[in-house]
Amino acid sequence: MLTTTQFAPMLRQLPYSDKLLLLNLLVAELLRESGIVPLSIQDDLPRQGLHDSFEAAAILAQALKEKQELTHG
Amino acid sequence: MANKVRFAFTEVDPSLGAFSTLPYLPLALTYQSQSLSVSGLLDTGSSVNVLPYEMGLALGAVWENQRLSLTLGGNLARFEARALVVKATVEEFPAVDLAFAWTQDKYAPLILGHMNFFLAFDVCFYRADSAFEISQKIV
Repeated sequence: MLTTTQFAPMLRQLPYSDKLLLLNLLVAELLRESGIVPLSIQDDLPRQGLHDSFEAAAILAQALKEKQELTHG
Repeated sequence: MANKVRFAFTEVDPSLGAFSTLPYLPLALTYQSQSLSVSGLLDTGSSVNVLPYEMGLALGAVWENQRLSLTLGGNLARFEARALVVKATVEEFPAVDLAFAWTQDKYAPLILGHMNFFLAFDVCFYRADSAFEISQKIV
């Protein structure tokens, strides 16, 4: 494996866009390893919590109705 | 039959004392012929009841037999959940059907939420006194 000292001169020779991509890759890698959600995708994540799991509540209502129909005919 | 029953909040962490008290309700859950005495967290911030996976198994429920699948939000979003209806008995009140989101998360707490615990029971919180009172809804 190359050491940072050996690696650095090669990195300096990279074009500007590749340096940016490398930076992006390293940041993504570090965030993933830390279990941190990147700020850029946080807005895409579902905001729903248990407080507004209304669709789940509707399914539970259906389950309850089916159970009561079975019991009471 | 009891009209109203008062319970004390439960201290979760003795080292934090009153700061860690939560409204846990002791109740008995029954599924088919299997019963379990448990404590459920009264959670007015939850739209559903949540049953942890192991508790469902202890009640004798079979995951594969529950056909209504549902998606929960928050920390439980990554776990599959299925609807399970069980009988619940609180103190001397008549048993009622409670529908739970039976989650595959083994570490989820037993949560008593709006659908349908708070439709079956009225609860009055006296937080300053670390107490709450429960009465059953007359249908």
